[in-house]
Amino acid sequence: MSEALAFWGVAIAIAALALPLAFRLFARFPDNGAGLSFTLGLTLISTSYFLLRVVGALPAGRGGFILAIALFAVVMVVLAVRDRRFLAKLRRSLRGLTVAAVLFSALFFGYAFFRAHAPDIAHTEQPMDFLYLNAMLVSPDYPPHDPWFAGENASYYYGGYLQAAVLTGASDVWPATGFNLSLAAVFASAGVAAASLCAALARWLLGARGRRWIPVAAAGGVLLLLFAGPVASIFELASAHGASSEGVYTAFGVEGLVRCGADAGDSCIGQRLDPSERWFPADHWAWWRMSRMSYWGPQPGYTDVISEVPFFSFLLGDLHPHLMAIPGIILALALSAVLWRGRGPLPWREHVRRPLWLLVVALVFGSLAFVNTWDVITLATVLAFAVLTRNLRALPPLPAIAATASYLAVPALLALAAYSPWIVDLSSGSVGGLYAYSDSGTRIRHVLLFWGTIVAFSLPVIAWALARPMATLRLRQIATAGLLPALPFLLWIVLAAAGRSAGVFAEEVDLGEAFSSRGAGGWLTLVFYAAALWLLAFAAIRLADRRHPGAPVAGLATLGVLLLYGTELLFIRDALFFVPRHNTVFKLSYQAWIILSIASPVVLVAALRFAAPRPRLFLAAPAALLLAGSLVFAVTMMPNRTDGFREAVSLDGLHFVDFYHPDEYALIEWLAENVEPDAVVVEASGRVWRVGDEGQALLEDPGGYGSFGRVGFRTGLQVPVGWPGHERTWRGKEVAPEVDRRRDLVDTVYTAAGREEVVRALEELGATYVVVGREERERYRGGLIPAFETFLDTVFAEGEVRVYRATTIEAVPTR
Amino acid sequence: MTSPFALPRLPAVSVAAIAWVLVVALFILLRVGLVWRAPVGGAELAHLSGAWQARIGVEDERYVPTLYQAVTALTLGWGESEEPARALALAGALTIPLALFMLRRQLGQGGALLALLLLALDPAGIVLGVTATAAAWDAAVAAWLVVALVAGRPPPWGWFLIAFFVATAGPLSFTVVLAATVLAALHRHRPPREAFLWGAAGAALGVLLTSLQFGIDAGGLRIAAFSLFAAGFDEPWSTLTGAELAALYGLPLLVGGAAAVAWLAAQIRAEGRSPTPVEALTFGTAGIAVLWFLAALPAHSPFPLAAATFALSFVLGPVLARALGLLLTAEWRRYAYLLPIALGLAGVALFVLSDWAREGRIDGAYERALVAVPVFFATMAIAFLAFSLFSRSREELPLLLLPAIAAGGVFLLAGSSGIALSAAGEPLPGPTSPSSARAIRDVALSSNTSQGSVVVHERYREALTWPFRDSGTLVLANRVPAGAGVVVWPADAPPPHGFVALDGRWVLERAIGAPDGFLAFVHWFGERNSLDQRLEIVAVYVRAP
Repeated sequence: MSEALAFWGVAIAIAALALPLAFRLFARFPDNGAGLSFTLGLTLISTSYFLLRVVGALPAGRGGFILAIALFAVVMVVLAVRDRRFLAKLRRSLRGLTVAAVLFSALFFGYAFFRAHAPDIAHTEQPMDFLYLNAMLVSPDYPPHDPWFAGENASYYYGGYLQAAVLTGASDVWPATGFNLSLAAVFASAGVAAASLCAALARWLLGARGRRWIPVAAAGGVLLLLFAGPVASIFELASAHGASSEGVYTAFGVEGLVRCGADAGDSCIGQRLDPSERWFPADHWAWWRMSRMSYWGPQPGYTDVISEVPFFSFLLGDLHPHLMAIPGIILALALSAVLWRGRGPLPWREHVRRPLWLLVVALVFGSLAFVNTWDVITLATVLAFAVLTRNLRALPPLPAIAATASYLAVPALLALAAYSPWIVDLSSGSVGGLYAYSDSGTRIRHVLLFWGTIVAFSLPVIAWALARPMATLRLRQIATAGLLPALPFLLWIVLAAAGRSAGVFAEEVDLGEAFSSRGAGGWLTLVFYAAALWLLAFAAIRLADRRHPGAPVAGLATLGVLLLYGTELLFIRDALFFVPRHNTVFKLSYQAWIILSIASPVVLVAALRFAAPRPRLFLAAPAALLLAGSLVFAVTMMPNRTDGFREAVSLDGLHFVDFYHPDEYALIEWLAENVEPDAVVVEASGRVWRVGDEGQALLEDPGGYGSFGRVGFRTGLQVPVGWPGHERTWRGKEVAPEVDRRRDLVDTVYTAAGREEVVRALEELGATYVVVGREERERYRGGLIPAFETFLDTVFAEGEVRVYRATTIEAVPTR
Repeated sequence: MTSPFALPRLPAVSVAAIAWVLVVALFILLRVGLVWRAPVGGAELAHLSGAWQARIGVEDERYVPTLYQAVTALTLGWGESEEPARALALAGALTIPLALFMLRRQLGQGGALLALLLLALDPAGIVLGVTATAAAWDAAVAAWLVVALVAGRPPPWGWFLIAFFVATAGPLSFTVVLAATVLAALHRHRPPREAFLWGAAGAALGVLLTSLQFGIDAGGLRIAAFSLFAAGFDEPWSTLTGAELAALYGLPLLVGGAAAVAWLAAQIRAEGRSPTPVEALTFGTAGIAVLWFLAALPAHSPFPLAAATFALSFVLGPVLARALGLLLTAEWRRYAYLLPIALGLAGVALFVLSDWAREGRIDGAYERALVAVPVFFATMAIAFLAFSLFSRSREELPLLLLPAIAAGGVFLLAGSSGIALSAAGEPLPGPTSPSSARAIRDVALSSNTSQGSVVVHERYREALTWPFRDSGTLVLANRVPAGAGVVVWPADAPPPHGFVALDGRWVLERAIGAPDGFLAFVHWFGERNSLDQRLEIVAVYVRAP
């Protein structure tokens, strides 16, 4: 508990410190930006820390983190005391501040409570997440090293891990606890940022008279962003209680969720599971099915993609970039909204007048790439449109475009310069350009069950575009709006015709195949998205033309649907090409959910506010039903994840290691305490070996995921090689020979027949320590492991775990 | 006409002058002996090791490039003793009284004098002012920076020197810089252009030199204050944590300082005035230093405590002067009898308590009553005094401060006298490199009759730098290599084959722990040598003939 309090204290301190800046940037927000101050502060502090570490001005360790916060504090205090109206603003925003602080604290401790029931850092890609968090904490030099590839810098978007490390390091929390508390901080900051932005958008839209509706919009934003999920969960819940009619389920395309019973035969169309004995679906990881539509339909799945919502991510508890990016995305949206809302054109000279804005825009948008590179394109587009529409209000089209380009170029260059130490280390991996997606596409029924609610909530914005003061329909607006669905489709045709097209099982299909491979459901999905997109784009253009306060909301809704539509047509080729649009759908649809969860509640609340009493009831009732339906996922799956909140275990993500293998836990503690941060530690390569008939080592299993690499990910110390597949993804295929060479050397260390061979392999790896623990004994079986104690120094021994240190003989001058 | 019997007229000497002389004398006396007597330990051991490595051209993290650290490396070129470096540290510390003297107009005569008295008695300040840590000149630089900001009118070029010293100093002076920056922003004060340029040039030169580590190495931008500040959170510069050090040595100044800040803030508010420049600066500095101290409570570094007590002394001194003034004018005979009564009762309780502490156990009901009853009545006496003063003569309320001042004074004196007179028995500084560590080196070198190499276990990589300085080339190893003549090995490790152990109890490092509870604390207060010691004992082996 004390660790949670310390972590929370640091978070609150950062939020408080950033208030002077938030007040300046978000003066038009009802809370004066109090809800965004934590994200703003953490973004700026972590970037400053990164840059100061790179130039060597900040040392490693807790002191470096505290110093970065202290320097930020000085700048903020100076900013506050130079702002004559700061105290007045503080007083004025006291209510907003209180609400933000209470909401942040409630969400933080609420999530920490949940996570204390399922704290383990043990599954999916959590080891990788923990690896980067630890790397940020212990790396002796910056840019940080890659603990799974000794001697090389990290080649990944690790900005979010750096933010988590700032909080963990400054609060002096055990990293495995910091991992879970970082999740809580992201959860809380995302919620409070969403509330702040929704409140602002609602305030602009509803005016002073609609003030009492603002909290409803803010609460809606929090609910949709953090707790809502696919309404398909209703079917999951019903089938868990035995109410799953095959006919109904098939009609809705969720026959895969039918529970046939554990003893069902081949005729089972769904899951071989008995009905749940508890009020919620109690089978292991039932919530997982909501993120893979392939589980919903008949097997084998064809949708081949991950469709996550934020609540799923928080339930899973991977500290992944797309999750950590949520608060930053909302901050970027808020900045764009403020820029849109302001008066007067924005040429590059504006940066001379307002250098603070330049710095903030550059660092916040640059950090989007740093945290989750996928987001920067989308959010930079939002920013560009915000600036362009503002410039168009004051200037003719061409000068407006020129002014926009010049205005955006300056922060873009600054961001490039600021994040260049990271960019130079970033390998493009296997990214291979834009492709046309040519497979069956997402079924319309699944689209409606997943996206229906959040898209439907945003549609009433069309009504304002058609409202009487703007009744005249203009062909230009309709035509321009039509470009939005038309252009991606044309691009799809062009790419497919050029042979840059791929489906699940086939690469480079031609245009004809691309057309024919998309099923009727897939075409219906396209039509649905295209129609919604056209209408929303039309609304956005019309509202923007009139500087109507509903324009940003309409614009956001348009962008959300555009992202969904785009993922049905196009994808970016990457390392996961064997599942063509895997990452594209995953990353872009996630952005779509975030953006729609900001726009939709504002639209819905405004629709309710402006509607006459009777239509309001007709609108409110189905909306409430849909909202309730989308919350079923959260309500039923939280107990599933935590076994009904039966027992709060700990916030230590390695608690399970301590429980099941205390000697392995002691190993981690010893390594973290005693090993130099730049040392290389050898641990199992991941392959499994056994003794052959003639006593030789035989490869039994080349390995895949697993808990090997645990020294690297649990301590942040460098090991020769961790998860090979991930290194190949991060660094491209070219790294494969080096990965294999290192694995061979590691295997030599553990299977060598003689001392010399071991010593030579250690020297080649530049390694000082050799770990022999549970992993090594399981992977080098049958007495393969040499008797290290006879020629290496045993520096740690606990249970069956040993750490050996390579023989050191070093001449040391003393005069 | 002058009478032939009249005495020659003596020059008049004011009480204040005598007081200044006495306090300065105390300031010097409490420090000067430590130049020779203080054990090398804690931060000093690390920084002397770093300076030695710098002197012989070996890159070492322990070398933090403050100006003083560079000077230390220079002095180690003249000889291998730490004493010249300490003498220079003392020389820096001895300028603090002059700085306080120059602040007497801003702090008030009594305020400056009492602030100096508190600084003179501050145990952490004593240690860090005399020992050769990288931050040895910090307090002096900080004090002179305060003078320059609020009392002096340095010429524009003077800011070159000031900025240079600040840029090459440790984090303590940085607390003043931060406070001054905030205040300047608050008052929209811009320094004169010329002074600013001189200052910027001085700071740039300082940062350039620290980045070049004063010619030792160039490893990117390096700001000494940042390095020292940050390293303090991770490095073992003290056996005790910041919280333990504060409990043992810093409570009077920390509690008194905090009370002084609160009282002064209330006074300023009640008087409806703005804080004077010196009040604002010392408030700001104290606030930053206390934040640093609080953040570093679990860290093993004495610097945050020293920074907090240093800054708070500047606030507490003037407040204490006002309080003492009120005490002198108060009519306190009426209720004075209550104070000795309370004191006597507390003494009885303390007597029994110290008895328990010595025996390490709490006695039976009778003795418990001997503690509980006097404590109860002493509390009642103080409460009655407070009630009486509050209800009848509020102007005499400062009387209540007397027990607190007395208790704080006793506490402070115990700490400072412990440090100044028997530093080797105190947990601050620690862990120390005892004289036996140097003896190990002498024995190892003199016993190396086989002319083999002197091998030291890898575990002692850092601990050996200082005691084994100027010993030729040693071999660090975790296995005894062929060709070893003398081996310095962990005492708990199996003896190396073919070697015989030299008789003796070879202590390489000594650390004194914190009292493990209230009774142990009371015991330590009465008997300074009562704390547990952790000794790093090694074995010295020579090749068997």
